[in-house]
Amino acid sequence: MSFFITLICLAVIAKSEFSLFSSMFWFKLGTNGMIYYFISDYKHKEFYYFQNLGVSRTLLWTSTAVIDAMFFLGSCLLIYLYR
Amino acid sequence: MIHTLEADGIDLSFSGRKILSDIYIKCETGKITGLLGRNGQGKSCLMQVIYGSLSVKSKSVRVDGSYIPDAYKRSDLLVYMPQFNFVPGALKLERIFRDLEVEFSAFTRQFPIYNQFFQSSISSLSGGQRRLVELYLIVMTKSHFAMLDEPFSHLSPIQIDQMKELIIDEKRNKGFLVTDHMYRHITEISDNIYVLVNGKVHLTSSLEDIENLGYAYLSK
Repeated sequence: MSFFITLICLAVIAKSEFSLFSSMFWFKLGTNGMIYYFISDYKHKEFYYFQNLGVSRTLLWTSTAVIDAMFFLGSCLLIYLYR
Repeated sequence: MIHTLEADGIDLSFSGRKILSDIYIKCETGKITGLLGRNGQGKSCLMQVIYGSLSVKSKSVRVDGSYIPDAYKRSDLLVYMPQFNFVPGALKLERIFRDLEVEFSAFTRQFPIYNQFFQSSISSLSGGQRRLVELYLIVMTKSHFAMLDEPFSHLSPIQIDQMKELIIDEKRNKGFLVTDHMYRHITEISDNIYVLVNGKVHLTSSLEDIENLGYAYLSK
């Protein structure tokens, strides 16, 4: 879901030639917050699986957020350089 | 070497109602510790507090005397099977057994029917089959202690007997804290039994103690 939203944001950013970057950035941040909320609620039982592997919720969320942010910002940078 | 898991100083309230207040519980490797209590007495909460997944005002959880605030970060010390399905449904059995470093061939020697499910996702199994896999994994995972919350729910009588034998066999390697409303299974396999009543745990020494604490009429 997050990947799909990132692709939409990147398409809008590329199409608008960065004039909508700020809006897409906040849109992406907002949807990430919603995804965090819904997964924490609907998938909370499954966190026990990862905890039994020694992976805490914090580590899961942090690593996911960092990878997602790197992909989003990295793609933005590439679009900016090759526009 | 015998390892000990101790929990005390736990204070848990919900909306002003005290759930846990006077707790001392001790598990040892090589032993099965049973935890009994009526619905709503806080058995699952106690396990979650020990595991660290439920925050409380105060608690002291120790393994071999060392304070462990978040036991869930130490799967080498403690693993936990909650009373609901916890393995993500999309994962295949192959992946799950590999993640938890449990031998699938040993599992199928005991439960041959699962041979055909090696490449299947766990969500494709029936409720009982899925529960058995989860229970087997937690029992067999390399850890000093395992907490089992209602391990026998959804299992057939034959499967319950097989799992009881497995737990008894595996206690050579770890300590178990087990709770289930199928209390006769608990009394059968446990070396020690605690009964949780009104937020306090009572270590029992006989079946009469369990009766006197108002949990069950075992003589009937």
